[in-house]
Amino acid sequence: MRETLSIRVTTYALLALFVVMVAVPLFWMVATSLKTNKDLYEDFTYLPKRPTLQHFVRVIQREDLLTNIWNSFAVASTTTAVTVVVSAFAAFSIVRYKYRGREWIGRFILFKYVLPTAMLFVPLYAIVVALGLGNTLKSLMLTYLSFTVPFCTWMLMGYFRSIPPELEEHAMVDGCTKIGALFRILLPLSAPGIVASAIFSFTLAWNEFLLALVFTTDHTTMTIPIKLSMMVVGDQYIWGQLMAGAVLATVPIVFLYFLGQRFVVQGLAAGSVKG
Amino acid sequence: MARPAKRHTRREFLKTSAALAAGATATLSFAAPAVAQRPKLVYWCYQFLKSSDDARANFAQEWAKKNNVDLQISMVPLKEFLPKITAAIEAKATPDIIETNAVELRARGQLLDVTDVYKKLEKTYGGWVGNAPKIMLEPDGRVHHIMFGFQGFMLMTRDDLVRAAGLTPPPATWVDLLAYAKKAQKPPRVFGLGIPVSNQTDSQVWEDMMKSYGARLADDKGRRIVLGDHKKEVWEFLDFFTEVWKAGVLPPGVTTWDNTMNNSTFQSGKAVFILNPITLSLWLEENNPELLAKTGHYTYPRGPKGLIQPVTFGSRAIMKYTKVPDLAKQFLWDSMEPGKMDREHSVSQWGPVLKAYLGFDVWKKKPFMKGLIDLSVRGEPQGWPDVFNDAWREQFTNTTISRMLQRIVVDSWSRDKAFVETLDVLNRIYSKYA
Amino acid sequence: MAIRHRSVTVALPAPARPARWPSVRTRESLGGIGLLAPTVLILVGLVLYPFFYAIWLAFSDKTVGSPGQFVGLRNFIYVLGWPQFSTAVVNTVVFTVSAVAIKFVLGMAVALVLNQQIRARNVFRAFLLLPWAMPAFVVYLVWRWLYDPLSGLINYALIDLGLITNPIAFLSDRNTAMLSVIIAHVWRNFPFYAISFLAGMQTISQELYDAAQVDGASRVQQFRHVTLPGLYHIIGVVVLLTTIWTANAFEPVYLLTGGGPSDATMVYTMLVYVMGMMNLRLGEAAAVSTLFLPLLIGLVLAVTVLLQRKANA
Repeated sequence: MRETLSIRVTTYALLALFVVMVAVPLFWMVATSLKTNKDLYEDFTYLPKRPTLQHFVRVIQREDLLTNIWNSFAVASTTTAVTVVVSAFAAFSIVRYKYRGREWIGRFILFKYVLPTAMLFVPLYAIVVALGLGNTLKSLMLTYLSFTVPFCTWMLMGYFRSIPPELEEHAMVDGCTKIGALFRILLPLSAPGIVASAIFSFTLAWNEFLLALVFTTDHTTMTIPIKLSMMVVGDQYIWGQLMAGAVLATVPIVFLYFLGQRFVVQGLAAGSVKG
Repeated sequence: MARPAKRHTRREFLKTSAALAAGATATLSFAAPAVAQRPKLVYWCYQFLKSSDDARANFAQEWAKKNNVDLQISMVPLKEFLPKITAAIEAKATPDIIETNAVELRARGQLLDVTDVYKKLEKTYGGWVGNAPKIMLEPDGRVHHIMFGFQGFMLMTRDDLVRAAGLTPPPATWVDLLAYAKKAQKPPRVFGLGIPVSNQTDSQVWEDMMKSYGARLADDKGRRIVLGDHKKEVWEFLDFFTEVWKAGVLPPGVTTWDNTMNNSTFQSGKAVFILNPITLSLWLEENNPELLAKTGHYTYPRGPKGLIQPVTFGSRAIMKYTKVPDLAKQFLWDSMEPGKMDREHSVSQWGPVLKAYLGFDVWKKKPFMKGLIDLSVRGEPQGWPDVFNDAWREQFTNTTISRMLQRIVVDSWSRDKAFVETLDVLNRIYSKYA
Repeated sequence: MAIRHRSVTVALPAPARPARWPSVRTRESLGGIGLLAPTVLILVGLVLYPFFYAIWLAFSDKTVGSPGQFVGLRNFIYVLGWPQFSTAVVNTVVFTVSAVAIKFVLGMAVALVLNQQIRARNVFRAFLLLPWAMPAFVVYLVWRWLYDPLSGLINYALIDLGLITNPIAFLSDRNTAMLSVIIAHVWRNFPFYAISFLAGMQTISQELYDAAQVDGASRVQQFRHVTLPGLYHIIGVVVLLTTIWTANAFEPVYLLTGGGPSDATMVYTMLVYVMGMMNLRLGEAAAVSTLFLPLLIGLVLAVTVLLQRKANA
């Protein structure tokens, strides 16, 4: 039908446009990581004249970037796991229970983001040191909760609110506990929201810079963004290495996003059982 | 069906909350160090040039082994030093030894008195070079940081391009520099002058230029702003600047250059003259020796009222909270040993601070290093003739003079309007420290 | 027995006997509070405490290492009198409003496209999220280089295509600097909008679209009357949050222009950095942040009220 065709054309045209828009800087990043040092400083070329993997090798061997990737991964996944659990409970509590003050928390939870990290990092560091967590990944796992939990809670509040409570009430009528209703009914229905929260939380933790900079001092405890910034030494950029490191830093996230997409679909499917 | 994992999480958080409450209300104490067999030393090593940084870090590790010390080294990029040390001081988790040139810490009493080390070095190694004493000694005769190297901006020149234009480097005055730049450049491929006019501190060379026209910011005590009395000299300087701007010798984009752009512009052969420390030369030595061979290293050109050649420095200091002051002082002392410094200088951008270092081979072996000696012997502390104090330092990081120039060429302000704003800013900053 | 909600079927255990649900309100409330406890702890310890500390700082003359004493409004007067303060306010508003608007439209468009049945949809979804997956530091460095007038891809491409003859210094020209920063920022952050809206679209029941189509609604009308209303909550969350995040954005300006040229891109976070971080004068930096609080809170309230009205309508 005509409408379907024009819709399809528009869709694919827009898709192509978006893909190009995203691809150009990414292409530049990858191309740079494959150029020799000489290539980088000579005349401009779109593609590397003599592609090389030297920067990748150097970054993995000399700079030990894989350790930093692992650190980032450990921090981001722990933060995400704790965040999702804590936020889901909090959102459930605010939306499905009745007690004084819950509205206020819900309303003001987002005000956390009003102050920039540049103002908060000093007292946060004091707390970290007082707990004996200086220069550990645990310090990050703890403090990152401060900016992942408020958002995820808020987001899940929205999701939970949009699901009518009757479903859970029906279940409770039949002997299910309130918490049980959370796990059997509400969470499966909110699967897309949960996954989205997890993705956000993971990405925020993966890319965070200032706290990681201040809290970790060792090459072995550093996370990726800090390690990459070390490749700006003084007044020189080590472009080749920097871009190689950036490419390596992005690969795990790409992989996770790809998986995450499927999970959204699965999550929806998991919510339906033939009765 | 999901299995509840909450119990473990709740307990963990109750534990954490108790600790947090205790930590937040009680006075924060030092993170108790484990009573070790070996003394522990934390060393924050300044990261700016890989070869130099590695040399210092390696020495530290060997020293630790020899002296049976448990040493923890952190490489701290210069740009990130301030937030890190801020947090460390506030949380009372400071390193023992730091490398920096930050006068702010000294003024806030964060550093240990090392006058004894200073005096011992002076006696043992033939005395200090150039203005090193002026930089280290405070009005009351005490010393809180030990310099290990001079550094400064030099005029780096594509001698080949200058000669090809029929001229002989180096240009003697700023006006000559402009003339040379105009003649030797080949825009849009190669530009004459790679000097930023931006909000980053490499742009402060314009302040030095302005001073070579006879202007100064504050009085001899470094308290009161006197720039307003030098309007004539400032206008003369602005005439020069306007000529530079109109001549098209500055590449496009200089108004947002950061401190790396002049390096990369020169490295890719797109600039005839830049003002930079020899970190660039050391990079060229490794990555592009042909270009290095064509590069001349000179001290600054003169202005109508004389030569302003500022030097900066690298120094080591001990945080006053250290638990091992004598050990730290020992480290400072051992770090200045001539044999070690000889090796270090050959891969670093530093000029010699002690007379005993003047005899090193490296100054003769690498021609571009000769300029460093000149710089070290003749250079004045940054800001000269202004006093190098907190107030000057703050207006420096605020790139005040460069902002004045940007007002004129970017915002098309009149000179008077820009000048008035600059005076206002300077007065506000200086009055905080008076 | 099964219940259908949206397009999902949920199975329930067969009903046995009437409920004897103990409605002890107190016990239930306690349960609710218990679930909330971890979040409250995080908020108090990691958010409120630093928050009040920062406010206290604004009223003190604290510099690094010294205890700091109360100095009343001195920092505020200093900051308000600073020549670039009002420019920072204007720039922050311009930057925030423009960036959020563009991200919204772009994010919505991307989400709509990704919600369609297209081949290799998962691949495209993951790909289009990449700008947000990379560290900001890398993103903005790459963009800085792309914009560079001497060796940047954009200028070379434009010249090679014959569209311009001389390179444009995108980040260094007062007329183009702000827009260039916004574009880089939008590139990096639109995926957040896209994924949020996409997740929201997934929970809208297909039946609603079918019903609308039966009623003869065009695609545009379906969007207005089915998609948008179904997304109100998520739109609210996203716009609110990203408004604050965008206003607090530091890396785009710091890494691309340093606030320049002159003060063309000087936003409030850059001001905090220059006044506080670089000079170790925590009191002044805190004062700048505190002064912007009313602005940010105002934005938050405005958006919240707007959304309440829409939701109630």
